[in-house]
Amino acid sequence: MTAAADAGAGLQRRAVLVVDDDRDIRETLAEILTDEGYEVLTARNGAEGLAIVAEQRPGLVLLDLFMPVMDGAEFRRQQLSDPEIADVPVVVISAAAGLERKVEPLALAGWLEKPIHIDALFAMVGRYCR
Amino acid sequence: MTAGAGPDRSERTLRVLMVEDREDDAKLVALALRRGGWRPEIERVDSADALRTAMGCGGFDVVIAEYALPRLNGLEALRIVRELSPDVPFVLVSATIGEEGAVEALKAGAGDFVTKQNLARLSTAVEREIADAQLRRERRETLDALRQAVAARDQFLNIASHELKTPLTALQLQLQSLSRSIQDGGAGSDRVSAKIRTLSRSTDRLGELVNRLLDVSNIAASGHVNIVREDMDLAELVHQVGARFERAAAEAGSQLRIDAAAPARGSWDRMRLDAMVTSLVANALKYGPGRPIDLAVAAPDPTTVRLTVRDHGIGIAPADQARIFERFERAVPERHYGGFGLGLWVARLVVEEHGGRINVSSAPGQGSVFEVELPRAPRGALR
Repeated sequence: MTAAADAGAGLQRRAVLVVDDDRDIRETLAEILTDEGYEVLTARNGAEGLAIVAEQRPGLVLLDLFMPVMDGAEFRRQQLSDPEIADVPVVVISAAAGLERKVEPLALAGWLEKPIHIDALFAMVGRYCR
Repeated sequence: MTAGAGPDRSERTLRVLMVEDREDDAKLVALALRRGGWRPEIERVDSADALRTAMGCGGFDVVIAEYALPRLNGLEALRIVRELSPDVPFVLVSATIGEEGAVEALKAGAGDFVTKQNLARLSTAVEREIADAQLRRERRETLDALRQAVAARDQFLNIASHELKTPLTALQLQLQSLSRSIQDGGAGSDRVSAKIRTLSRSTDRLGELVNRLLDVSNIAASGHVNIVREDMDLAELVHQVGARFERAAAEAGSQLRIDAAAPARGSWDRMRLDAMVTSLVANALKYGPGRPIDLAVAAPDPTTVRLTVRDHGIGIAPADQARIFERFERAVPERHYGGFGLGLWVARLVVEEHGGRINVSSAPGQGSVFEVELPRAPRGALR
């Protein structure tokens, strides 16, 4: 999880993309990460997220699992099959039951279980966005 | 009811599926039923295929089967009937059935058996078996309905806790962010800081309750606790849990005394054991506030580790001691103490899934001692 620093050259290091269908989560994460000096992008589902990742190449994606249109697992599958964006690190944030087992096949940079603590969030984001 | 009092069945029609190879014997059975006051309509079969076909059409009030047919044995007929229709009344008749055969037939689910020497008893046996079958059907339907209700409830809990977590996450993050900006900027008064601390504590508690709900709904849905073993130290874990309870213990006026100096290593699920120790300590604090709580980890033998949690609280009456490890149970009225009544149930499942055991010794007013014994390695994995 800590080997990410060298990978992904050419990423916008201070940019974080939040992909979540819940407006309160998107806005809350955007507010508190903006306050910390990050540039925050938001998407409402996996499909919107993929388009933004390709355009903006953020330093990190915070990804929800259950979303309409395209869920987090499908986002990750399509991302990994596209060499242009496969190196963008992704951290899942989810309230799903048995999260540890669900995220295992997704080969993620990390995962946070809702409800999350702000310190854990900052530590995780700080690891990838420097 | 006696067999002689037949006619008060007032000529009720009885659709009979008879498993019998001899026409004469079928007639004797029909006669016995008529004498008992029934108006039998009989369809006769003498092979497994014919039995299946007839059962497929359905509509029979009772199956009457000869025990010893050359082509289809009575128990085999019973098996086929039960497979196709678990509730239909089934009576065996035989000239030759011995005591052993009769016992075997009843165990396999035959409602009754009647010897051909005593066919006068048949109509009574049929009547009783029809009533019993009705009861069996009602009981099965009730059980099915209960199972469905439980499954629906577990699914609801699962969805509800998932849904609750999302706004809770936003709420907690906002509060934590607010708290940080007040600390950093020094802009807030002490009163505001204190309010935020209280808000944070409440949302933390909400978060824990929601997590517990989700965990329990998963356990309930799967019927057991999934464990992922790793090499770990129970003594270290007990110290960690103790540290987490420091503030709660101070607020309850209880001193947490931990006697776990030596490492106690084993192959266990860290997250599950954490939940187990947490619920035992929470339980001790809840029922024994104002008095010390003693936690001890020991190794009674080379293959076992023992955790003891002792409180000096209200204690548990002997009659309640087994019950407290069941779901939604507690030994006190729920309005007096908070919580779902799930902690000790989950603790027991966790311990049992590790091949260990948990028990309590207590008396009202004497406090309680919970003792958990865990094998260091899964059974069969001992070197």
